[in-house]
Amino acid sequence: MPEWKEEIRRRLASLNLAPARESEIVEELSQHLEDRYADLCAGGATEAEANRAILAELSESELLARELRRVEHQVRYEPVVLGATKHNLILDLWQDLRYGIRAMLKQRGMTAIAVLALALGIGGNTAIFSLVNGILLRQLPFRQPEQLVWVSSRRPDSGKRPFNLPDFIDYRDQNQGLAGIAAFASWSVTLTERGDPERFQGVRISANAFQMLGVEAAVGRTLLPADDTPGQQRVVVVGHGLWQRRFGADPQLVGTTLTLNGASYTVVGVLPPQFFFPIREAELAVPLAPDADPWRGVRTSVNFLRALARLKPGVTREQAEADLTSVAERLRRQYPVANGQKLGVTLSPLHEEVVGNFRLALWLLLGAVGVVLLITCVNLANLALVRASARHREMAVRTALGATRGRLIQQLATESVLLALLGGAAGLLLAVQGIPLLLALSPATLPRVAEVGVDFRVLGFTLALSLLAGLIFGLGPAWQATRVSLNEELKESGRGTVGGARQSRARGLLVISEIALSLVLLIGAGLLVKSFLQLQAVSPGFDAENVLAVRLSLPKARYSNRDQVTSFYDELRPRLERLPGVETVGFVSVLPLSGTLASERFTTIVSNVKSSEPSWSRRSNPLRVALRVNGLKRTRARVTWR
Amino acid sequence: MSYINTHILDRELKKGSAELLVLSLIEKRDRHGYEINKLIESRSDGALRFNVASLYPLLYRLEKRGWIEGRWVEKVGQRRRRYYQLTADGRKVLAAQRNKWRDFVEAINRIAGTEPA
Repeated sequence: MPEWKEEIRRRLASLNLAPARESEIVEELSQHLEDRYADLCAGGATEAEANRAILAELSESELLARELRRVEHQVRYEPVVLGATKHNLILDLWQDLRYGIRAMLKQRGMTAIAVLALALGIGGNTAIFSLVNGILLRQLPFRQPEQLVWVSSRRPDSGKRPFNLPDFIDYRDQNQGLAGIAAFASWSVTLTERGDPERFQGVRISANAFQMLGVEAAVGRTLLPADDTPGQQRVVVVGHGLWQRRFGADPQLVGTTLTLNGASYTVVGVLPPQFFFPIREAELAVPLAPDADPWRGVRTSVNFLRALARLKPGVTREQAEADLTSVAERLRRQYPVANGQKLGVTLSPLHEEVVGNFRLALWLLLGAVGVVLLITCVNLANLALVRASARHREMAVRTALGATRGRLIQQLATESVLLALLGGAAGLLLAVQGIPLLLALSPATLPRVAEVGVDFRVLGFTLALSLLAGLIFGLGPAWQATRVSLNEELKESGRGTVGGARQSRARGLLVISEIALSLVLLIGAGLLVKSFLQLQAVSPGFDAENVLAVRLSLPKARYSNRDQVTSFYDELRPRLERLPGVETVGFVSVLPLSGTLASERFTTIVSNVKSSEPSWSRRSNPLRVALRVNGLKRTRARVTWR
Repeated sequence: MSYINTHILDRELKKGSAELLVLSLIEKRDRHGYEINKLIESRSDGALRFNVASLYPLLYRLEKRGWIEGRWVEKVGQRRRRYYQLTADGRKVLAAQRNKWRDFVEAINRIAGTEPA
C-alpha cells in the first residue's frame, strides 16, 4: 500500500501548524486514504486505478489547505472587523499591536517625527530624573544612612556654626545619645617629591569617621581610631579619583610615603569610588588627632570644625539634640566668656546637608522638562487628531459592523502607547548619551555626581513615563475619533470637510493648552534670567575689575613660625610692586565672597593690574615668576583672574 | 440558464446540509471520519459523498464550535482511530437543524410542487 503521510504533510506545509496538531491531522487523513484505497481495491479496482483515484482526491489539496487554514487559524480570520467581537485581552492586544505596527509602517514619516519628538521629551525627563534619583532618592552610600546626622553649633545668629577643638572634644566625651561623632576640617596640601608639585584640597578628619560611616577601603585600609592617638606614625588615605589621576591606580601606592606640606605621610589605603568627602573637592584625608593638637586646651580658639555623628539605635534626632544642648549649657555656665554665644547644638539629617539647595532646583528642573514633555504630548495629540479625522470613516464602518466604542478606543490607545514606547526607548538611548554631558555642564558643587546613572528605578520611570505619555496623547483623540454618528459622518464627508466642526474645536483646545504650557515655561525661564541679571547687578562693595588673585600656601616645614611667614611676605611685596603693570599689592586670608573658611596656611595676594599691560596673560604670568624668584619654586600657586 | 443553476443548487444544498448529516450520523454512536463518509455515501445511494478536502475541515470546524468531540480510541486488534461523538451543545444544534430542515423541505415542496396539491 502506498504511503500517504509524506504527501499530506507536504500539502499542509504552508499552514505552519503546530507540530503536534499537524501529526494528528496527517495521521487521521492518511488513515482515511488507506481505508479508501483498500475499499477501491476490494471493489475490483487495480492498484494503479486505486492510486489514481486517491491522488485525484488529494489533488484538491488546495481546497483542503484552504479549508483547514480557515478552521485551524480561525482566530486570525474571524475578526474581519477589528473590535467586532470580544475574544480575550491578550489576543485583542496582539491584534491591536500588529495593526498598530502596520499603521506605523504605512506612515513612516509621521511615525519618525513622533518618535523623535517623544525621544527628546522622554530623554530629557529620563536624564533629569537620573540626577534626581542619584542625588535625592538614592540612599547615601553609608551603612544605615538614616542614623547619620550633621552636627552644628547653634548661636544667636545662625543654627549651623562650626566647633572649636575643646568644644568638639567635650561633646565627643560627654554625649549620651551618639554612637559616634567625627569632626573634620579642610586641609590644604602641597604634594612634593613625586613629579611636579601639586596642590590638593584635603581633609583632616577624626580617624573613627570611616568606621562610623561604614566605609570600607578599595585598597588597603581606611583610617582607624588608633591613628588619632598621640605619637602615631603620620598616615594618609587617598581618594579614588586622585589615586587614578595622579598615581595611575597603582595598588602598590599603599605602604609608600608621600611628602605633604613638607612632612612624610604613609599611604594606608585608597577609598572606594562612590565615597565622597564632606568637603567638596577634597581628595585625601589624614587623621585629625584632636587630642594631640596644641589648641585643644584653648577655649577661645577659632571655630573651624564641622562634625558628623551616628545616632545610637533607638535614639531620635530630637533626643540626641536635647542631650547635646544640655552639654552646651553646661559648657556655657563653665566658660561664660568663650562659650557665652554657644546656645546649643543642631542636628540635621546628613542627606539634607549633602543635597542642600539642590533639592528644590532638581525638582524644579524635573518639573520644567515634564512640562516640555507635556507640550510634546499636546503636539502629538494634535497630530493624532488630524490622523483620527482621516480615519473617521474607518471608525464609522467598524462601528456599523458591530465594533464597540471601548474596543476601538483600546485599539487606538494601543497604537499611541506603542509609539510612545518606541519614543521612550529612543529617549533612553539619548539620556544615556546625554547624562555625561549634563554632568559636565552642572555646577561643580553638585553633590553625589558619581552616583548618577541609569538604574532599575530610572528604567522604571522611563517605562512608566512612556506609557503615561502614550495615554495622554492617545486617549483624547481616540475618544474624539470614536464619537461616531453614521449620519453625521456621511454628511460631513459629503460636504468634503476634513474632520468637521467637532475636530476643529478639539484642535483649538489643544493649541490653547499648548500655548498655556509654553507660557508657563517662558515665564519661569524669564524669571530665572531676571534673577540672574539682578544678581549680576548687585554691587559687592568692591571693584573686581583688573584684579588678579594668587592663592598659595607656604610649606610648614620651612615656614614653621610667624616670623618666617611675615618675612616671606615682607620680601614678596616690593618684588610684586616692582612688576610692570602692577599698581598695588595686598594680602588677605579669605577672598571676599569666596565662601572659604579662615585658614592659617592660606594667604591670598591681590594685585591691581593695568589691563593695558600686554605681558599679563594667563599663560605667562609674572606673578609666578616672582614667586619662583622668591624661593617658592616647589610650591604650586593657583592664579586666577577675578 | 439551467446548466448553471442546477450545479450551484447542488453545491449549496450539500453545503447547507453537510453539518446536519454529520451530526445525525454520530447521534447514536461515535464514529470515525471514514465511517461517516461511507455511511453518507451508502445511505444516499451514492448521491452524496465527501472527499477528504471537505469532510475533515468540516469535522474540525464542528469540533471547534464545541458541537462534536473527537478523541483517539485504541481498540483491540485495530490501530488507534479518531472517533467523534456528539456533545450536549451539538445535540441541541442537531435538534434545531432538523426542525429547520424539515420546515425548509416542506416549504420547498409546497412551492415547487413536488408533492400533490
